[in-house]
Amino acid sequence: MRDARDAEDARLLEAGEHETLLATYFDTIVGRCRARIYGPEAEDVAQDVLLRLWRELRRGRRYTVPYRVVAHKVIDWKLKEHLSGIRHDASPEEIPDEAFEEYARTVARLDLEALIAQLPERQRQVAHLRYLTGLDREQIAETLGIQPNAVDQALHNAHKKLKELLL
Amino acid sequence: MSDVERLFDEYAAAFTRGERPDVRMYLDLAGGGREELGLLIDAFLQAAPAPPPSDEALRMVGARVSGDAPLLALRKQRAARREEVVDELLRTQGWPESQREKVKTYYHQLESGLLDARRVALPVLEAVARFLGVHVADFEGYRAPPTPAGVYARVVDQEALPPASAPEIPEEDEIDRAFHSGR
Repeated sequence: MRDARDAEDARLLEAGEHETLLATYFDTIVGRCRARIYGPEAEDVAQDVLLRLWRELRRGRRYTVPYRVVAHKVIDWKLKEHLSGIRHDASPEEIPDEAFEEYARTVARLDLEALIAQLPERQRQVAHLRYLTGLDREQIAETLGIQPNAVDQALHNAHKKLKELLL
Repeated sequence: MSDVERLFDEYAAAFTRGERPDVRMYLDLAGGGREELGLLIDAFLQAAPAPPPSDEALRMVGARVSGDAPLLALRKQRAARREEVVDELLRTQGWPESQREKVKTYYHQLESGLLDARRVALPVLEAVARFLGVHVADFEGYRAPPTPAGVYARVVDQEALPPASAPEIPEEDEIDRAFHSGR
């Protein structure tokens, strides 16, 4: 799933469809900024991220890591700047590719599909249907032939484990 | 399931379905668990695959990177006249027809980025967003670029200016407060 997204990002980058590429990450950018900055400044930080990514794309830099890694790293920079009050002057084009590659390994550990794969079987089935397929509780119960309460219990246990892995 | 877990579950599932859930709404509902929920959502968004871009996101990005005002771009895309948005605001906010010109002026300022959307009451923004078929987040972060006059105004030698007489401040009414008082 992630490979397909990365391949599509690479295609958009190659085709110069920069606005579509940025639009892919628009909700993620706004969502992450709002999740960490509770207040109107979240919008300013999101706008900074968007414009920074746009400038990088216009400069034509080709990255050796998937574009999502670059997007998340720029979001992280801006969030850290805002939350710590310290400006990070280095721009992405001044950062060696190795830095992105190291970050790519961190992002890879956070791959949702990989995280869900670590759960016990029942939790894995339920979490996959919920967070990768988008089914609701009743649909999951029907698909797996179990009671909705069992779905709730499996999700509760999956949450506990995912929380450990995510945070 | 705790409240934080339930809210996280609802947010994550909605995002996966390709909806555009507003993080702020979920954090508001979390009360004391807000920070924990924020961390979870942030971590989830790093891990979750990005869904294909929505039409709204595409329009918003296009408007923001080109420096155009997103609200104006959205209204044009809907082929709606400014008067229609004003009609909607009068109707949904229960404001009298006699205040049409004032509302229109404020809306023009909002649409042009001259009025900071963060100072506008949420019900007003939500009414505009509903009418245009988008989310408040789509246009909220926009600021108009500074004009040459604006830049110049910041470097004027204030001491060289004649002393200003105390301006007469008109009393604020409900509409002024809705567009100026923030949230």
